[in-house]
Amino acid sequence: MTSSPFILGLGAVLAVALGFLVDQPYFASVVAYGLVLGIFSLGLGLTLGRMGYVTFGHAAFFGLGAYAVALVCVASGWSYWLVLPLSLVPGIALGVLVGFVSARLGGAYFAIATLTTAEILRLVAANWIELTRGPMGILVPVGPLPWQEALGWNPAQAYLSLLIAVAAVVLALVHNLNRSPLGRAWVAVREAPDLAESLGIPTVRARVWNVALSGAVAGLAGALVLPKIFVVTPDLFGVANSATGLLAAILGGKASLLGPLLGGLVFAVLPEALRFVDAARLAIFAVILLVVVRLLPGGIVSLMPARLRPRNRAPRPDGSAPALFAAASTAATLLEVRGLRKSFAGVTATQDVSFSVRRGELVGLIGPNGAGKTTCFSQLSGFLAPDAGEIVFDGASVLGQAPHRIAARGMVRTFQHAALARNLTVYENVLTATHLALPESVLASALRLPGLRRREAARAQLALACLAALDLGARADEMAQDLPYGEQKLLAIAMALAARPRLLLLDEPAAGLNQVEAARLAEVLRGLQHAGLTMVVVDHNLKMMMAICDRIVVLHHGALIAAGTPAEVREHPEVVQAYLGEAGA
Amino acid sequence: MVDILLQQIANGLSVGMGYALVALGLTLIFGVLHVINFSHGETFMLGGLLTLIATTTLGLPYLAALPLAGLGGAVLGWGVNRIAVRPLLARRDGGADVLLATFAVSILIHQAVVMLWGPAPARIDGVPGTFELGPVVLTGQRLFVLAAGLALLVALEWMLRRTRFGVELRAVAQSQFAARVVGIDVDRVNGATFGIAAVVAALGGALLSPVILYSSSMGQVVIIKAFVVVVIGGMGSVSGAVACGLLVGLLEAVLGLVAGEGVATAVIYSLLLAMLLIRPQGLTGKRAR
Amino acid sequence: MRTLFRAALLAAACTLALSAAPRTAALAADPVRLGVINPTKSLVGKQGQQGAVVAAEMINADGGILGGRKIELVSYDTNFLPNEGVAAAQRLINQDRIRFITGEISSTVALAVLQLAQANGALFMAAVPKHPAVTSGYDRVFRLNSTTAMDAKDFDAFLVEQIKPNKVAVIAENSDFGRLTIAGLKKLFGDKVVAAETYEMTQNDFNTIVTKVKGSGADVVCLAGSNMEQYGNILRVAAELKLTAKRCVMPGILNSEGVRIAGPAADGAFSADIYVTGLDNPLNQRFVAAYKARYNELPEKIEVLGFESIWIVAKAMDKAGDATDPGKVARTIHDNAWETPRGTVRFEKNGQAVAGPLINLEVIGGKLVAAKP
Repeated sequence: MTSSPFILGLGAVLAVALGFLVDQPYFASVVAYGLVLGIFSLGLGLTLGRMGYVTFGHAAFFGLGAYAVALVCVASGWSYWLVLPLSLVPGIALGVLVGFVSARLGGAYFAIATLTTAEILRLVAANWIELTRGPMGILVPVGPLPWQEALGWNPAQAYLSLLIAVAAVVLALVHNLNRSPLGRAWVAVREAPDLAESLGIPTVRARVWNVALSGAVAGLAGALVLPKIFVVTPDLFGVANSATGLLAAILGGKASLLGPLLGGLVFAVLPEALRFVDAARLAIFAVILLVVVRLLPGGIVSLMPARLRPRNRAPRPDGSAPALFAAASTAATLLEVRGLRKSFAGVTATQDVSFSVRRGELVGLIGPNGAGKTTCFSQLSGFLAPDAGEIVFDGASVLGQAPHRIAARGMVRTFQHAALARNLTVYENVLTATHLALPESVLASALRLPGLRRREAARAQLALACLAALDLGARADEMAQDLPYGEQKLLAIAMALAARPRLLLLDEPAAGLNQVEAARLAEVLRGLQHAGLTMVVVDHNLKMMMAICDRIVVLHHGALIAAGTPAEVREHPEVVQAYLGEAGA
Repeated sequence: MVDILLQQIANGLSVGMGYALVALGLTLIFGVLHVINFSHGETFMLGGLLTLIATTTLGLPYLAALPLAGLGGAVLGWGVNRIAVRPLLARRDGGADVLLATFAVSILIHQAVVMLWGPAPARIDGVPGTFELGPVVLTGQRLFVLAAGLALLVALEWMLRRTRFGVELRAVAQSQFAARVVGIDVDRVNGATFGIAAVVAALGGALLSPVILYSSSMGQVVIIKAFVVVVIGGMGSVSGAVACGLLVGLLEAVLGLVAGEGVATAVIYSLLLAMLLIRPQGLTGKRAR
Repeated sequence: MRTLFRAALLAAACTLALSAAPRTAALAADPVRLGVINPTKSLVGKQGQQGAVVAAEMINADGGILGGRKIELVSYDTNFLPNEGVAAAQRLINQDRIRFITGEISSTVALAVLQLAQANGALFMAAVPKHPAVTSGYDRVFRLNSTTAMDAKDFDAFLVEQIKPNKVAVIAENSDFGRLTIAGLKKLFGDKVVAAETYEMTQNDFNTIVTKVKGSGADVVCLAGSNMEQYGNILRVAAELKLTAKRCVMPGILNSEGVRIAGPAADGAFSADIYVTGLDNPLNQRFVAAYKARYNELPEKIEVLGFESIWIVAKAMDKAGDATDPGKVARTIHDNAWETPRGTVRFEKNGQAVAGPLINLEVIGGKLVAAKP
């Protein structure tokens, strides 16, 4: 498995070796420009590959980084190399802004947000003459690097060597991030945003961080192009630049770590390599692109023989037995629902529903189709805001809180549809769901600090314990989509457990299960209850519900019509009427 | 002042119709095939070039050049679909691959035109004459763009709503899978959609080139704005693209009275970005597919 | 791990392969090679390139330089992109071992190439770029085109004394050239400038601008834009919207291609430039004939600048008796006057070319001709 120290080490070796070897400025500077594009594309790949956000305006970050450094250099007279790190700042700032906007609007609008931002910035740069000198551009003096003369290198050698080092660092950071809880959160947000939120992943924050980090890298790339072109012009914000970054990432292989870097290199080096047929070089470049995309579905990285993205395989249990769910509180009543009301365009979905759940109880929520059970769950877990009513969880109101906040408080729900990411392994899915178990900072994630490794190991053990609790341990390294349906439903519960709930809300866990599978599920739920977990279950399998629930709450047309032990509810005339009525209709 | 404003509204509408015509095919392809055709702008340029060749080298009258441009668009659309779209659609990440492939095709078309025909821009004489409606002066060609564009939009709308093919097309747009289940030849619908979009783009090029002049880079310039129009109009929404195209043209012209086009465009984009924050579903109300 | 190792091996192998490229030194009997960079896929770039080719062919037809050595051009496309321009120049300097670079249209590209030329002690003979910073502080850089400030010197007087406008409108592209022109005319005419409009270099609809200019009541409208399809279209729209003001195209940009684009709408427009095809001197007649024979077109300003960039460098090498030392050739260029199709060209200390006064031009019957005094 590739590790970040290995990447850094290789980067250092290559930086020194190629610095000496590629002493011809032309080659050095062409490859260096390829690395600039590659770094740009790596930044873009963070949003494209991780979040699945297509972007047509990443040049906004690229250009902003270049302009920021150019303006500071010219205004202060400081050395370009000193100012260079500043290029990260505007990228992050704009990334937070754009990330927030697109988080509000959803991924499809990321394209608009970036494209229009880039165009606005281009127009501002072209028209704010006093600041940017407009289309004339700003000439940036770039002195030699401090170590250039000591090593006897020409400027291109030093530039190439620095870029290899920067590319290695960026690659290592991206690699670290992808493997961290934050990186897993990005994939979770891409694959199933609601489920991610229900597992306690703050999806808006994850998105904003993603775009901000992507913007920082793109901004750095923009500043790094200056020693090559010396002059910044509004064209840096142009769609042509955005397209190059995007297409390089796709060409290289957007889902892979190395892909964008390779794509960037190809976009820079190939047109230069075709200089010997100067007149037709762009046409030949286009033909090669076309052939590559036709023949290599996964991008250039698919040419590489070894598997580039090794699966995160489940480790062995280390004998530690992590607590499966957070210690139960002392309050006797864990959940108190009062007068919950919600209607959609005049149609009442829940109508003054009130009930409570005591600690350690297994409460069933039943009712005919359209009774408002799932709507009720959605309000409890924060996905829907009730029109009226009160929800008190563990002594405090959770009304109006975001789902991930409610999950963090200990009320975790599942969805009818099971897995988080169908093309990740069972283990990886559960590992992603451990997000709440131990908090992690972005810095620790990017640098993979020792504390993070320790906590990662603990998270891994927790994930294993959750799998073991549902008897899925043997399936850990299988793809989630390859599991039989019944076990996919169990996986959903294992993931909810990984979020360390005190109250688990299960939405139709038995739907679509055959008898054997349903029996296994009932067994699992009983076991969890014995272990001390409080649960509310919505399901249509009345036989199972009657068998496992301590108490049952019955909804009909959004209203609570009965509550009591299974025996009481079974005899309740309104309940019988409701179910008969449905059967008769 | 009122006179100038009226003139600007007329100008803006004729410019906006151009944006709408280019955006239309782009959004149609996105709506049905769920891919972005990067080479759309070059199809527009080819429409202009064919008009130029027809009216100068072949000596045909302008109106006779239009069907020729449409035909050229259809042939190009067919070819691009065969080479760069259809073989890639079935892939898991087909959308991204199509983007890359059509980008390559757009470079190829542009380079071929520059190498075979040359880079020189040229004037095309369209419908002659100018018409004065009170204080508003419009050239014959601009009126023709408005009328022909409108006719094209109506014809397209009729086709989408009233013909069997339109029904099939909308079914495929809703769900390729469901369309296949009910026995619709999805490949054929995809191909036809691509062809129609290319014909509209080429006709757009033929209609607008007398106004904006033919140049080999006319496609690259116009595609950027068309793209913004498509995205803001709600990707895949035909009516959204048309409304947004006309609106951007109109706003540009009116704002252009107090600022340069660059500033006017920046203001419009900022407004639209702010509007999207308040009204995320886009201009036309429906959520983008 | 293994993959990265393979990638590293691959990269190292490529590097070695690239580093092993042959380095050949020029022999005395070899042709003299000159570097030419241009955005050859654009019309102006192509025009500049063709001018350079004609220069090399004329010199070679005369028997070459330095006692019979032929001129050989090594040409690269810059695609209007600074990174490609730098790559092209770097390739010339490092791979082709040529330290004489000529040509180019774009100022942005020229500024980037200039840094590189300076770092390598190469001679850079910029043909068309107008940015003032191109000629600043390097003794081996030259610029053949006139600057906006130089054009203004002659043309301002002409405007004030001959045209005598009451109200002036300016329509300028949003570029250094356009901005400088607006500033210059405002300084010259003060309150008489009643409208100053800029348009983007990608803009293709000019109804709004012309409508505004028409509303301003100007009796002279000055156009400042380097793209012929843009100013040509503006002239056409002006005619369509029945703008009656006199149309002045600022010096150095009007050419017959632009006149062709504008069509009948260009008639009566006036301008000025450093060259006109019909100049009456033997070298120009020879150049025009050679160009016509080669490309079946008549050359204009851009073609002449492309021609001069090769012509002057080659003649200077001949005079200096050296085709390898850029410093020596640069000094020779500075110390002498050079006969070219537009007359006698000298260079100021900063490398700026100066020739005779501007030639006033006007469009009559669809033809661009020298105005009668």
